[in-house]
Amino acid sequence: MAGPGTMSRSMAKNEIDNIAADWVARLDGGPLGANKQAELDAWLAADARHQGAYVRARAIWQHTNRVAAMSEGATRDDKPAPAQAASWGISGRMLAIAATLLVAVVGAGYFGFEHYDGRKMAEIGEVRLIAMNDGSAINLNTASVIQTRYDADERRILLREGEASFKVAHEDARPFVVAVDGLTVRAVGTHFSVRRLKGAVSVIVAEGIVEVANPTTGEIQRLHADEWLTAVAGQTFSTANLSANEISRRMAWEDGRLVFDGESVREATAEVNRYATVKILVEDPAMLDETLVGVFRIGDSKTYANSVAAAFDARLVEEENALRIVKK
Amino acid sequence: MTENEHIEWLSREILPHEPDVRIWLERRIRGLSGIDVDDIIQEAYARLWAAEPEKIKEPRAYFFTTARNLVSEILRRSRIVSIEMMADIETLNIVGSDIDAERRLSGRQEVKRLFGALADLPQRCRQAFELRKFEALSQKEIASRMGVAESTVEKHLSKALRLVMESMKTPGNTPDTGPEGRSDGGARDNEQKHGKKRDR
Repeated sequence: MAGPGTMSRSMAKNEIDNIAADWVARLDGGPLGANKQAELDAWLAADARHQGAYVRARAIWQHTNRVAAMSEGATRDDKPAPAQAASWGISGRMLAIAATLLVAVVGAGYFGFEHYDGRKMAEIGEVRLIAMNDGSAINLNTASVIQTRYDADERRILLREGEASFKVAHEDARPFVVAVDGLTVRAVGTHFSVRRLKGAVSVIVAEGIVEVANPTTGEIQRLHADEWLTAVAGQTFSTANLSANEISRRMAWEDGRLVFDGESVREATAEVNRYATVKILVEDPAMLDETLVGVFRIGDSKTYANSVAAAFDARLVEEENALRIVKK
Repeated sequence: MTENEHIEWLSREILPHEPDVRIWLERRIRGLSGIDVDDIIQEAYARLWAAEPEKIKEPRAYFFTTARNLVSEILRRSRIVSIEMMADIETLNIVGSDIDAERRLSGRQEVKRLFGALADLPQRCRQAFELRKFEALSQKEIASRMGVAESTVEKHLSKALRLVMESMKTPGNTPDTGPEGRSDGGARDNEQKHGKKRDR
């Protein structure tokens, strides 16, 4: 199914809405016979969503009458204004920025740190938005460090630690390159994230196209929206498609949220701990493989720990340096 | 209040706020496969239909509260307990964007939105809808004018309405004015309830 975060729904997606529209059009033609009326009543009674969709359809039908009345004097050929590109805001990943692709082959070890300036970091538990003067935006996730170097023919970011996402302002002449552990991730305008792990790099593309290159091996991989690449040292790249829902989930940290949708307690707790100086320890091994669903505010480990303890009938022990979840 | 007055109330007092409620919901449940914004909106309308509009002083706030309650109920029903509840609705900037929403549905912009939606329709389908809405012809009259069966006219109108219904989900050309609260939505799985299958 399309997830709740999917804004571009197809018309056919919501069958209930379609059936509701059919009924409203049917009623507009004249009163229903007894059989039809019984059929409608049964449909409405079957599910609260049916009733809701039906009254909504009627309200919208009525609304169009009012709009038609208002439109006197408007010509029918009025073209709607072009849809505005969403701002980098709530619906951040819906950007309509065209991404152009360039080939990136840059020698590993070429970037000495001394060439960079602007060392920027986010502390543990911090998510930091950095507005660059070219209009690009960089979101630094917890415990992350970047350095930047903008010059006449290139905008280059060195990801030294952690994870960052990039919303790149389009510039034909000056590509945007993220260098991480000997790889380059290159785009002209797009929205993607790069995460540096121990011995691996992960790249997720939310919008547009980027190209990931390993200059040492010569391997190059083009990534489109909703694609995910992992590069493990000494291995070839591996890629996977992610659902739009999954992309939203993985980039929710940009909004200060952590979203879990069926992760194990082990995975979710590790993720929560990324943002915390006081770590959560789950001391019941059986609990680690349980799965959970939920949304948390980044940095609010205690709410998470309380929720997990409550969900799995465990007890939370608060200590100075740890939150321990133990068997009752 | 008669049934028609109730529909009219929904159309004037509730519909303009729907895009904002959707944005607010999406922001809270985005990334979760078990909760669907369309489902919540439909159930919210069902509750607004069961309610007595005379007693609702602030329809926008009522709509938001209803949506929030529905999410909370889904969370409570779910097997795995989680998560932080939605922030108190009082902390949302609900009144602030009220004026924008009113304007949104009363101006030329709304006319443009309607024409924009209709522009995507097949020509015959659009013609039927325009004859019904702008010329106020009955379905029967439209059928004879266009030389088609009444059932065909009905199908055209349904198709047009579907498209308009879809277009009403988004704020159109108006910048987002969704209320902002410091909160995170808690969310749970309601697979059993809606019989949904998760992709993972």
